[in-house]
Amino acid sequence: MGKPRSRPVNRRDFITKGAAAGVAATAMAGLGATVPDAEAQTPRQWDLEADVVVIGSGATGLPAAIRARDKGASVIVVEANYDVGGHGILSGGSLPLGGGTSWQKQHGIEDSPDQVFRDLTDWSVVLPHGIADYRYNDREVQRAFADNCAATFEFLIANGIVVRPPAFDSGSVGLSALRMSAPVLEGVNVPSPMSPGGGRGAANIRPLEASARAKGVRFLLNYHMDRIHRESPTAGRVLGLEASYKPRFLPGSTTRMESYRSEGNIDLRKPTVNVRARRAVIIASGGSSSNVNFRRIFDPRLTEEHQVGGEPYSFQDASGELAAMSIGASLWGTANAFERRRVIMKRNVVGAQYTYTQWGPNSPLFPFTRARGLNIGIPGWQHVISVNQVGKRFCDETHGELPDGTGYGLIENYVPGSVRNTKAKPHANADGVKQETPLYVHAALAMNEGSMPPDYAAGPVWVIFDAAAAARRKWNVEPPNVDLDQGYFFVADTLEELARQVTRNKYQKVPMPPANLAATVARYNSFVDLGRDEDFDKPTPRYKIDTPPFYAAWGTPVCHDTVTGLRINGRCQVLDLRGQVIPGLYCGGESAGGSNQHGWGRCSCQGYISGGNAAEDVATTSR
Amino acid sequence: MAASPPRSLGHAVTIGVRPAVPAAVDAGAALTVRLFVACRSGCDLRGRIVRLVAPDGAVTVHELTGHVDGTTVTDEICVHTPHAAGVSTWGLVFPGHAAGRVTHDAAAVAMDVDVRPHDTSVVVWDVPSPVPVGTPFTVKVGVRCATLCRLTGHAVEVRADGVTVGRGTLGALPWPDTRGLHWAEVPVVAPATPGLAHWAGIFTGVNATPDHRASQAPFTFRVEPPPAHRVALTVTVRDTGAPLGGADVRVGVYRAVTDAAGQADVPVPAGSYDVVVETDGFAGHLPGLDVHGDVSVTVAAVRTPTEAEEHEALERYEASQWG
Repeated sequence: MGKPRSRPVNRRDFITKGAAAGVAATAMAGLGATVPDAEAQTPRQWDLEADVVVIGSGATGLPAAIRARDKGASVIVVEANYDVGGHGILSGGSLPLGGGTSWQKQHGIEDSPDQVFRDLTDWSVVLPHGIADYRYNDREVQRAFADNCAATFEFLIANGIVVRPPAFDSGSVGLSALRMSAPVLEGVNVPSPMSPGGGRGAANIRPLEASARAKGVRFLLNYHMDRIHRESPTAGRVLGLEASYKPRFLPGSTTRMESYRSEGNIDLRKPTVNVRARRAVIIASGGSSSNVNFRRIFDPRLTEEHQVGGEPYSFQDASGELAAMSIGASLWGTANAFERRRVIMKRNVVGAQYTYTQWGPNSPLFPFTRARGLNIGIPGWQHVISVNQVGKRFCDETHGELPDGTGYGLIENYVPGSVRNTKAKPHANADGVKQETPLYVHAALAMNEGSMPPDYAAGPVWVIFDAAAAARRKWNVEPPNVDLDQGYFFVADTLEELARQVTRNKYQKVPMPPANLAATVARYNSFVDLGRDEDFDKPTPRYKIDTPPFYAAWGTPVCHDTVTGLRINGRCQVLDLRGQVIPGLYCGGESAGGSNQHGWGRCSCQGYISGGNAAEDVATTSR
Repeated sequence: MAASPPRSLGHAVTIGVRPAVPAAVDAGAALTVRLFVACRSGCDLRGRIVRLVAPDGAVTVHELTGHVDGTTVTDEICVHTPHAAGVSTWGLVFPGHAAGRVTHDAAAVAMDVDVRPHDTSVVVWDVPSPVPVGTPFTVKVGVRCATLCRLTGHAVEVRADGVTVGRGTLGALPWPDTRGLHWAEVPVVAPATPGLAHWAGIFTGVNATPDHRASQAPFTFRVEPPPAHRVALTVTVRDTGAPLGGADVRVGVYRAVTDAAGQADVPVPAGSYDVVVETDGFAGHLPGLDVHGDVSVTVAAVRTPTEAEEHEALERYEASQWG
């Protein structure tokens, strides 16, 4: 084991650095961070060490680990979960990477790093609701993305990912060229431990994982990173990290959950370990969507009732951001957090706690999720109403989501940087899905009579329908589709009884007045008679909600992406509040700020960038 | 040394009910409780009795049979609250006794309980709309007691502006898939003038035992003049001219479904109507169709994304799910 570096703290250090650390510590404590005091920056003993230590094994962490290993560094990946993949293994896995990839060339698509850079910083692309898609991206970060985009793609292919047609595009990867390709893992319904949520993200994660293990990357699973060690609280190099043992058990089981593969796993069960990073630590912990306090920095409306995509497999708990901020790191690019579909989403899946991924009984995580969720589809909204926690409608239920970002083909006659783009707002995404002025989510998050201080949270959204709707749409309203036991789906003979029941849900903090729900439905039914919705202009409301029994299904919007985080430079080095590099600390993906893109593109590319630079890190504080 | 003569010790006791009876309970509810007597000195009072005086004056006598932690209790007894709502008073009497040197004082306590009528709620469904003026039709009216009382045989009404326009009697079996929604088919007659009718299904609770609260459910339906004319619709696929069967068609608020030949007859009153055609993957619209006699029209439906296509598009970047 390596011997930790340490030095005494003198009075001057204490005043200039310790005082700053105290301020940071106070701020972090409110966010649930473990904050070291000034004299406890370095541990007395390192338990493990490697040249590069990567926090997280998802869409950023695995590429970072492999890239660093390719560059000759020894690598340890510290992962809080029982298996690799993070949020990335649950994703659709599409790879929005361009700039002249072999895949683009194969399909005759012209692209270049300059084109990518220009696209992803284009001020003139405006979404249907007036929000600019690329305007607030950090230019240095986008330049680095553009320059490494194609290389990242080839790197992923070289490490086992297979992509095949169809090609498609969307999601804020620029309008000049088709850039989105889809991975293939033969047979989507792969064995459940390989893909705990059933998603195509496994087609990226599992090949990368196999490659990483084959190349000698070591994995410390079941350990949650709690702090990053730096020479002193806000100065000096990053030395390593501290992690705590957090094994996972299925409900009712005493057997620890185990990873799909084990080659390269470090078998440790100590309560706390210190891992030395001889060259660098890379934060790839996946963002902050699971940390209610932290995500509310960017949108105070996102209170606890909003569940999170990725959970309960992966928890994006802001641990990387908090640990970095505790040693002086800055946040960056917060404007990107607003008005994006994937930050807060309306879901067509209702009646279960976790509705981003549909966790069926074949999933190893089903004992946690308890229900698959009822997918009512887009047309289903014509057959239901949505009510807030006090039983009142708030919007046209058929109303669309926040826009998903722009991509190739969305603006006719697109000319990069042209003011005319601002007048040609895209009205549909590349798949033909209509993108309306988004109201539903904002209305769902609005304060109502049940909103209580200090947060004035909107509370749950309940999707209300009747037996006739279930019969018309052939909805199976029985478990395992719906979660009756834990209060995410209710059945009642009358609307009044239904309103009384929903208080069994733990996020329903106020009673839903039975008279409210009955009056809301009676009024809506009168709109069906009239053929028009006099409250919210739902297009020709067609179906009364009147045939018993009645149903209330959990339909509260879901948090997903994190699109703001730590300030990084083009090398993915983390910068402090003064704009100075924190030596030996890197970050990429959803924990990093400066990029608005969803998904694997920026994650894998910044993993590639950070892994390469971390492996060759030398002590420098200049940008 | 001579002993002092024995002195009578009048132990004070407290009496009551465990668990404590809530301040408000449902009419006719069965409560399982124990009566207790607690002596300050912790005396064991097993074999003594306690009298329970019901609100109607009936007295029952209960023996104290158990002694735990200084308190002596009866076996569990079942107490029924009155059927009539209101404040009811229960009495509890410990007659006291003298046994050797120890006496226990008598004690009595009165307990007021707020007896509530049962909550009920009403549902009205299978209401046709639109309905031609003056036409007889039926609606279903169901009543649910919050405590699942069997309300078979009780009356329900339909009222228009407070005036009863229909009556029914709740049947023996609850509506399918409900826990206790007893229902009746109620015949009514549509108003004589067109418009949006605002009626209500009513459960008065009268004669229900125990007491039940009245409840109501407002409902609406549209009243139209008699459909004197016929709109003969033919729906085709615009690009191919092929008939489009199984499509929902709406002529104003009048609805029908096309047959295999893409045809539907829709009876309507004279007027001007928007014709809307919808089915999965197709949509058509014919605005402002004036109907002053029988009329035949063709609507060419255009291709729209199917439900499956829209769903697939939205889910494209997201996880394909476990079945």
